[in-house]
Amino acid sequence: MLHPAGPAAHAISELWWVMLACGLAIFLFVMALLFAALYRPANPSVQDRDESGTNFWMWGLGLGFPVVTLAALTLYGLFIGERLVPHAAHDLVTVQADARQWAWTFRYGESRVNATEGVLHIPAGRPVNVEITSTDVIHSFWVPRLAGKLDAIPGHVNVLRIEAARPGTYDGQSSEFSGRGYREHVFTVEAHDAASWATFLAEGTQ
Amino acid sequence: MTDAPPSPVSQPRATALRLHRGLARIWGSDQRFRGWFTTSNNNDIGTVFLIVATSFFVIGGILAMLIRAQLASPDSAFMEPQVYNQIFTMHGTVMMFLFAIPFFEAMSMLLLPGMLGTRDLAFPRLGAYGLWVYIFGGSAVIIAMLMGLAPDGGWFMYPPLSSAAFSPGIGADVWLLGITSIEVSAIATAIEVIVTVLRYRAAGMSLARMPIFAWYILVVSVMILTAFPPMILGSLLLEVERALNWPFFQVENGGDPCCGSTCSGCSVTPKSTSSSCPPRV
Repeated sequence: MLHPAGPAAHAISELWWVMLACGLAIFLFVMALLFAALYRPANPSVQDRDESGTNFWMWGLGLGFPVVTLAALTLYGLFIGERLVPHAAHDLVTVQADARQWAWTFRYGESRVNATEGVLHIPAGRPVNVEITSTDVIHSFWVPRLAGKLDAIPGHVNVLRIEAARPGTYDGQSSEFSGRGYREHVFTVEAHDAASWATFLAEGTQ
Repeated sequence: MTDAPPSPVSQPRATALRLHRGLARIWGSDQRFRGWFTTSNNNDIGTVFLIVATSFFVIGGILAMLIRAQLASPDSAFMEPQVYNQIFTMHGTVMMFLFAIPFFEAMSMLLLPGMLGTRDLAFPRLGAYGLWVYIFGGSAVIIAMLMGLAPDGGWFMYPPLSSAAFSPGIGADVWLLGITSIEVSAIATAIEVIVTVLRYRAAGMSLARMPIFAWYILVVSVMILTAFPPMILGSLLLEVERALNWPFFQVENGGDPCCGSTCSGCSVTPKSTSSSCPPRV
C-alpha cells in the first residue's frame, strides 16, 4: 500500500506498519476492557478496597503498561531512525538541491556546473546524499517513495540520504507551504541504470 | 468575617441582609449594563470569555466551510489563490489562538473556584485584564481579515516567508500584534490558575484530593507558562525585523531563519523544523 522504492522508504514503511499494528492492538485491548467494565454483572457484596486490585489496575495497567509500550516503541523508532542517517557509505553519490519560489535546481559533481531544473537525476541502486538548501524561504524536499522529508532552509545545508532500488521515475514535491505557487512546487527524480547514468554525467561535463 | 459579633436572635434577617450587602459591595459586579465591562468576578469574566471564544469558533468554522467549498472541485474558481491563502491561514489562527486556548481558559475561570472551594480566583483584576486583552487582539485580527488584510503565510508564520520581503503589507503585522496580545492574555490566565490551584484550595484539600480537572488545568497552565514566552519573543523579533528592518531572520544580512521557527515551533506546532536546524556556534 505504501509502495516504498528504496531502503529509507522501506524502513519508514516498516515503522508505519509496526506502529499501526501496535496502536490497533492497544486500541482493541482498551475497548475490550471498557466493554468488560460496562457489562460487568452488578455485585454489591464485593468491596472496592481490594488492595491487590488497586496494584494491578493502577500500577500495572495504569502506569506500567504505558511506560513499557511507549519505551519499546520509542526505542524501536530510534533504531529505525538510525537506519535513515546518512552514514559514510561505499559508492556514495552527492548531489545538491537548491529550492526557491517555486522551482528546484539540482547540481551534480565536484564542480557543480552540471545542473538540471525540476528533474533530479540519480543512479539506481547506489546511496545518494542530497544536500538541500534554499535561496529564499523555507521549503521541504520530499520524495515519498524514496525517503522522508527534510527542510530546505536558507543559510543551512541539510543532508538527506535517498536510494532508489530500481531505475524509474519518482514524483517529489515540497512539503512546506511557501506562498502563492506552492501547489506547483513539484519535481521528479529520474533513477538511471549504470549505463544511462554514465551517459548523463558525460553529457553534463561536455 | 469570622470575628463578627454573634447576631441577636431577634433580628437575624436584618443582620443577614447587612452582611450580604457588605459582601456584595466587595465581591459583586455592577448590576447595570456597564457592569459587564467593569466586572472582575470570575463567573462574569468566564461567561464573557466563553461567549467570545464560541463566537470566534463559529467564525473559524465558517472559514473551514469556505476552504471546503474551494476544495470541493479541482481548479475551482470560487476563491483567488491569495484569498484562499488568507482564509486557510486565518482558519488555523482562529481555531488555535482565538478558540482552543481561550475556551480552555474560560472553562477554568468558570469551574475552578467552585471545585477548589474558594470564592474567586487569586487575581480577579488580572483575569479581567486577560479577557479584555484577548478581546482586543482577537477582534483586531478578525477585523483585519474582513478588510482583506489577513496574512497569507500559513498560521505558523515561519520566517522568512512571513518576513517583509515575502509578505509585504500590513497583514502580518496586525496578526503578530493581535496574536501576541492573546498570548499575553494566556500567560495572565495561566499565572492566575497556577496560583489559585496551589494557594487557594479549601482547607483540607491536599493536592492528592484535588479534583482531576484542577490537576489537568494546572499542568496545562504550567505548559503555557513555559512555552508562550519564547513564542512571544519569536513574534517580537519578527515584528522588529518587519518594522525596523533588523535582520534576525535574513541570511544575507547575517540572520538565521531557525532563530524564529524554533521559537514558534516551541509551543503550538509539532512541526520538526527545529530538528532540521542544527545549533549554530
